[in-house]
Amino acid sequence: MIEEAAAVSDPELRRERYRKISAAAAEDPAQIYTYQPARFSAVRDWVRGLDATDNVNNLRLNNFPYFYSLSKS
Amino acid sequence: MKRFSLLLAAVLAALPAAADAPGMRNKGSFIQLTTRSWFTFDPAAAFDAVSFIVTGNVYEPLITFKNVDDPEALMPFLASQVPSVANGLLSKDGLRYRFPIREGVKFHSGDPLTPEDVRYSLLRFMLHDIEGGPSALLLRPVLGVYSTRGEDGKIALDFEKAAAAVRVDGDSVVVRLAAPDKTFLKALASLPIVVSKPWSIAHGEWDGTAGSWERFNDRPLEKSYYHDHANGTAPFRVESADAESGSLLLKRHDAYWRAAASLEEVRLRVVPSKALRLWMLENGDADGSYFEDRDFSEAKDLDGVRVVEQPFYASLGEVLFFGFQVDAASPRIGSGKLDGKGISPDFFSNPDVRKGFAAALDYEGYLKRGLGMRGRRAPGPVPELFLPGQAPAATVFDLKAAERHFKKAFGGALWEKGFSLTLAYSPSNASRVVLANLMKAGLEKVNPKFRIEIQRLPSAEIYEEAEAGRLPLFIAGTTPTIRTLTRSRSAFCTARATTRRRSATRTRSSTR
Repeated sequence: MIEEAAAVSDPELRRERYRKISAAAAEDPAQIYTYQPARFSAVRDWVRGLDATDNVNNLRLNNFPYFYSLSKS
Repeated sequence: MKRFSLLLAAVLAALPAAADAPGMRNKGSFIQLTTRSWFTFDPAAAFDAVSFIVTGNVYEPLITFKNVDDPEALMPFLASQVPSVANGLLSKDGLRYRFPIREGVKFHSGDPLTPEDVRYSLLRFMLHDIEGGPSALLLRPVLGVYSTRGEDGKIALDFEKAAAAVRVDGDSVVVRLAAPDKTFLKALASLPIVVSKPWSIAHGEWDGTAGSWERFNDRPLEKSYYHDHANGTAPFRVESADAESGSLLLKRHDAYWRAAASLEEVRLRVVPSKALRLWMLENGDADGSYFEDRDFSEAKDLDGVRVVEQPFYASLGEVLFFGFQVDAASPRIGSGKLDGKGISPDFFSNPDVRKGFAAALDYEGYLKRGLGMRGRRAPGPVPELFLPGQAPAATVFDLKAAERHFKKAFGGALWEKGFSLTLAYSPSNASRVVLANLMKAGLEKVNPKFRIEIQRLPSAEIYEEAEAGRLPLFIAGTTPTIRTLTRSRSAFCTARATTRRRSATRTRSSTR
């Protein structure tokens, strides 16, 4: 089911397959999922570049800084 | 007039920059606080949030996400183009991806980046395959397997197959997938893993040949030279590091292929005490700090501190992981039998047991007491960001439902005899204590013969123990390390493979 879903080209059809898989996983939990947290970053007010959304090198999704984007002034 | 101008320029140069904020220290230096140290610098093994701070700022991926809010949009990075059918770099059958490698990129060591480095890095990432590590993220799409080893733990991968799937062609690297896979590019975009082949070999790492790769497969982390040394292409290089004290100094890579970073250096400091981190930030002794979500109200009221709220990104938050097949000698399963004094090693292979546990957890109590009301119920293994429109979480706190499931499990023997097991968590996030205690309280309410002992273990030990199959139940913070479905699929697959050795540990993700 999972392998088949990965091969589906149409993004919406692919998502639909994954929704079914996710529902099956919720029905028979392989782990217990709790809450997606509301994350935040805390920096001094002299830090610039925290709002950069490009070239993030994947890190903001982990809530950790990509220091290349940051500066102080 | 000229003399006056020179004088004015000299006076201005002597003044502090007018725009700089009061209290700011050392403009070129950034101090980031965290709650624990990193596990490893090895980009083929790094799989936790703090290690990612290092690898994500020191190493780079072939392609990356254009915008953090959009997991669908990709942009070139060390590859000069993102392959697509339209640009002719992806074959029409969806199997062959060509990555032209960017010219003019230099490693921290000064060596130029070559296509052979990229090929080596991709193979190294797959073939090193630390148990519970990230290699499956590429092994699965490229070679169609989740591990280089079989069920018996012995090598099961044909090197020639891997070598043929990733090859250099002129100024490009060509990767051939086992089957069409729309998530492959997103997996690559989340992996800053490109290392220098000559530098690796010079420091005793894998030489890239068929004859030696098995020696580097599933090594203990500390055996890798990359564990505490680094040489990437990213804007910062590791100047000095002390994992024991959690002190790390990154220096700017001045020969960086884009404009050099504004910051000259970044210092990472481990400060477990929340009170101290709040104080250091307010006092200007740090520029940024990690806090738990529950600390929001305290952080937002600090003078001179800015908090930036983020949408519900990829994190699944804290997850309770079941060990489907626990080492029979593990002290955490008591007698190892379903006799009221322990559990059988395959206890959690029983779906009614899992459903009973899931129904005995007070989710809203956790939101209130563990997260300070700052969270949204996770719909399942795939975060909402990647899969919008999922049905709300099916499991609710319902002690009667838990009782029904437990009565069904093991033909009623579980209900009659009870059980005893140990739930482990790492203390780097305080919300885990709340979660562990709510799980214990719920189960003990359902049946006083259900006994949970709570054990606090350092993060590194949690993973060592999980990988050794010695944890029946543990809590870990989970951010699917790829912001694609691949990781969750991998986790889901392996978690379902109840007979598989150490299955639960394969769900390991980014964690605090």
